Amino acid sequence: MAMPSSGSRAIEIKAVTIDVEIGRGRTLSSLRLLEDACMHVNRGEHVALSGPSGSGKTTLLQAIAGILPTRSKAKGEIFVGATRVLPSGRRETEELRATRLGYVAQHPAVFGRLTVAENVGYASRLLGRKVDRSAIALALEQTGLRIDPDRVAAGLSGGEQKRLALASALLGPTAPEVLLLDEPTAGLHVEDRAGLNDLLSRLAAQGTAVLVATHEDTSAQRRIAMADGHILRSSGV
Amino acid sequence: MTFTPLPPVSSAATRALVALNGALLSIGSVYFAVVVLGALLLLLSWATSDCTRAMLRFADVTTRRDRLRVFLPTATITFLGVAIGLADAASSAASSPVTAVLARAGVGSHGRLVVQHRDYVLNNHGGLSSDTVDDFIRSSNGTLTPGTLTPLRFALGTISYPQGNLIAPSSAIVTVPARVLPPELTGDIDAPCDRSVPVIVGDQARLGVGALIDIDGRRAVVAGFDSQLAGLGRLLVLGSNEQLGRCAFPEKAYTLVAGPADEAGSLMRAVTRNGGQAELTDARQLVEVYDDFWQGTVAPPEMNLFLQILLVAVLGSIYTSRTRSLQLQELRASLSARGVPVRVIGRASLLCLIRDALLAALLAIVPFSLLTAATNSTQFGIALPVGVSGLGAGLLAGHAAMLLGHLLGERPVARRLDLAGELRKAI
Repeated sequence: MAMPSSGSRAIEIKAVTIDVEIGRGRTLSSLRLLEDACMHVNRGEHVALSGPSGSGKTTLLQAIAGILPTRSKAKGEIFVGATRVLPSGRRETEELRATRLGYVAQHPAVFGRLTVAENVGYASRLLGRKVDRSAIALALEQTGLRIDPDRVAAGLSGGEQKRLALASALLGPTAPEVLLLDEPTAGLHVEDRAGLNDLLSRLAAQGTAVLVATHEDTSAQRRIAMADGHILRSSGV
Repeated sequence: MTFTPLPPVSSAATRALVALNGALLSIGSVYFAVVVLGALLLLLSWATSDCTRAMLRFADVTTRRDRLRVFLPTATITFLGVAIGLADAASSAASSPVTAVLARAGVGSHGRLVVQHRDYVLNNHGGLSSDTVDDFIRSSNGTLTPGTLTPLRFALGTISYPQGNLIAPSSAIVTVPARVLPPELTGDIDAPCDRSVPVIVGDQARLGVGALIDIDGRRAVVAGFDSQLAGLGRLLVLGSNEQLGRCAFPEKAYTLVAGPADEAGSLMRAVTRNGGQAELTDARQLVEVYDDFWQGTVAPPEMNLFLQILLVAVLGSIYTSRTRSLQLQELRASLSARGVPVRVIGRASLLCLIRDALLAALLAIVPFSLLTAATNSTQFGIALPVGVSGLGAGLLAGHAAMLLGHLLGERPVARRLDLAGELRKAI
């Protein structure tokens, strides 16, 4: 299952089409979320996916993470590094997300009954990994989240919640090779937005392939425009 | 011995429920040990494994712990345990009044009885009469006396308590010779029949001395009590042959004679020689037949209670499991997006269920024990202690309801997780 393209490619998407079934019985119909999408992201590259709502940005990010809607049909191929994500099985994609790929949803989950530190390490603990406080502190520091790690996470601001989710994605046995973020700066203050963009650029500089779905200006090196499930163009920023 | 209970009940269904109850009780002790062992293992795992500690928090990381999740199973275990305890009392102590009567007649469980018919047909007018017994005593040439043979008469009748406006159908009415009863409980054995006949009743009737009762339309007066005559929900009335038997005993009665085991064969021959149909049997067979009767008639109310509680518990458990599962969908999605395998999330959910089950077991033990003892006492007049098997059976039934709730309520929801869709929502 070797990736047929360049070894510097962190993400390779080849002619991916995703249809999802809507309704039941007589009202059953098919909706095309992505059509013949082709793109790539190199290692150490910071790329922005832009386009209006419903253009397919989230679907594309989720497909790369191995997360497809139920009742969907997908064609084409997606590789993350040398790992085939599409078509693939659930276990392979779970393994990928657990080890080499970080995915931060648009509305990240914050476990309100846990402390900030527990939030960051909870998924890793469920995976049976030993999580020490220094690793959590480092992840929090990387995201610039300077709050008491023993504070209960309920009541964090939107920006803090996104940084917290990013810290969780960064915490693992190694830094993720690929980081996917869905609207990470939406609803953030200007300063927070700038800080987060700087962080993503730093992560890319450290070798992580960063792909961000966004409506806004970013510090990304390249911007890929999408509309109606199609990739329109790719351009340097 | 065929009793005719009133009101009639479905014997097959009852016996199936009694069998279920018996099965639960038979493995109750083992299950109790399993629960204790499981609690210790979980505690050990919690103390040594960070992963277990994380899993045990799974259901509570986003919202405050839903108290219903523990209190519903606690209530379930408590009430199921009470129902099982009731049925256990109905089953295991059903024969205690007969045993008590036989003991009064000087017959232990190894004694022999001469009975009228192979099938113990109650209300069968066999040939075993007082005259027959008297004939036999005379023919023994002094070997036997009326004191060594005890004729007993059994019948089922309807007892009503005018004071409490209660009616107890299919109550057992037993007569024994006055000599085996304390004199203060029999009064004048030659008193005319137009006076109320003195009887002894089980003390669960909560009647005072001097209270009037009605036995198939004949008046009797309570002369004393005997806790061993607690007839498990139905009254057992004991009187003397000389008074109750003569004045107020139902016409359709069943007579047997209890006597020394070594004389039983001679007695039977004497009976058959005089034209009666008789058979020799062990006293314990009478006890078993009586047990069988109670299990087929007395148990239903308790078993129905058991079934109703079980049904409500399962439905309640399905509802709460389903509600909880729906609340956890976004959490499942979030963890899955972070690479936590579905099987690990399922394991965490199951571990939380086990924790809740153990917690509920711990919380239920005291109210369950107290309530069962209290209910048995008020219902039957028998304060049977709740044993380990009863505890285990209550826990097993309660936990089975929880497991069903998990399988039918939680798992189907978890399996329908639309990961992509959930991740588009906000937690």
